[in-house]
Amino acid sequence: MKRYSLLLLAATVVFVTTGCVDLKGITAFSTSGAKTCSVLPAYGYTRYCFDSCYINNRDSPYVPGRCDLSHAVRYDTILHRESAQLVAYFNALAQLSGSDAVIDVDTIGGSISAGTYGQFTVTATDVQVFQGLTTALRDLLTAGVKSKDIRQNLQRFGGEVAGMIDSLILQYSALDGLTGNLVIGLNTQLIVYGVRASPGPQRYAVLYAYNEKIGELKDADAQQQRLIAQLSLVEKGYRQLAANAGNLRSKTLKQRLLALVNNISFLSGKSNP
Amino acid sequence: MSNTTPTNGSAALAIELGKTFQLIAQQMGNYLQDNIIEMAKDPASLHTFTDDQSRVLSYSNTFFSLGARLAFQNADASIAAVQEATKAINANLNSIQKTDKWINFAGAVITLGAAIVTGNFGNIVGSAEAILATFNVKIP
Repeated sequence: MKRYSLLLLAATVVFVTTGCVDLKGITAFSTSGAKTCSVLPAYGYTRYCFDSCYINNRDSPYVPGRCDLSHAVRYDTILHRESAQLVAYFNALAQLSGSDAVIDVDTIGGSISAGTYGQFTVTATDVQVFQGLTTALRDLLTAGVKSKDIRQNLQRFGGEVAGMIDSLILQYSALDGLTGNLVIGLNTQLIVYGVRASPGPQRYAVLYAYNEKIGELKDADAQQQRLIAQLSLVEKGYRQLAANAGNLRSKTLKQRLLALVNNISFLSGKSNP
Repeated sequence: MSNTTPTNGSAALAIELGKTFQLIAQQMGNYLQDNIIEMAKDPASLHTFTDDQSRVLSYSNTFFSLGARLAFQNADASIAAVQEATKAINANLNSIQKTDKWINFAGAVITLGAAIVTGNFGNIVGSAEAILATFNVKIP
């Protein structure tokens, strides 16, 4: 009996140490993934549309309310939905892998539709990816057994979830490119105006305004690039996680995920949680 | 991983094209900044230069905005020609140091942009060759 109790105690110790500790890498990574996806660039498509409407039509007469932003608002809403769904997925993954923190898992809501939103397009592929992520999230939310369910979820839906992160990266890369183009266009206007205008208070005021706007757009560009870099790390980590779905307690995987968490934290300018 | 991963291939290619056109516009801007005093002495040429840069930027915007709608998605020869041109542009852009050369080069780039957007395969290869000729490079 005493021997049996000792064996039971040893088994419990082994379970507690390997059963929880080894999934810490996944918990930390998932929490970090959720935090990253919850960040939305302050300068989104709506603000870009507003600026580009005026900057790219500099020779047109000024007409208040000329710029129709409704398409850009809808496109931004779609990006918000995609991000929110990824946040919910990573939060569910964190909970399932044993997060101690109380994490809000948002309810599954919203959908996206293929179509053209002004100059922006949501393709059938985008919709398919989003639906795949939604299914993956539903699966996680109804799961009950830690590593087994995580493994099955990663094996079944890993491609869709990674595809959604990839799609978000591309959408933000496009926004970043468009914002960068505004900076280049404004710089040219600034240079040409600077050489043509006569020195004086008006020239100074105009050059000052140009520089202010260029500075603001450069800040937005830097924020977008930081977010893209962070999302790329999340995608890299998630692909490693999915590729190792059959061996979630691997020490190497844990080390890699924790290293990525550090790098993501570094990019956000905050210390490691 | 599941085998049903949807691909974003053409969108990624469009983003790359957008970045290449952006790089050209950025380099034109740098050239303008370095030579504005001299260039301002020839207003017509300056106007052509800035107008061309604006059109290059406009195509860059188009590629960033319309990613997945690229018409040449499955045209291997066109994609290969564009990729060769892109490689040559990235490697040789710094070698353009005269306004008239910039204007000629920008003309070829604008033609390429138009060919890609309209899906004119013949013009894609032709304008890619014109870009390569600027740098004395031939399609392998």
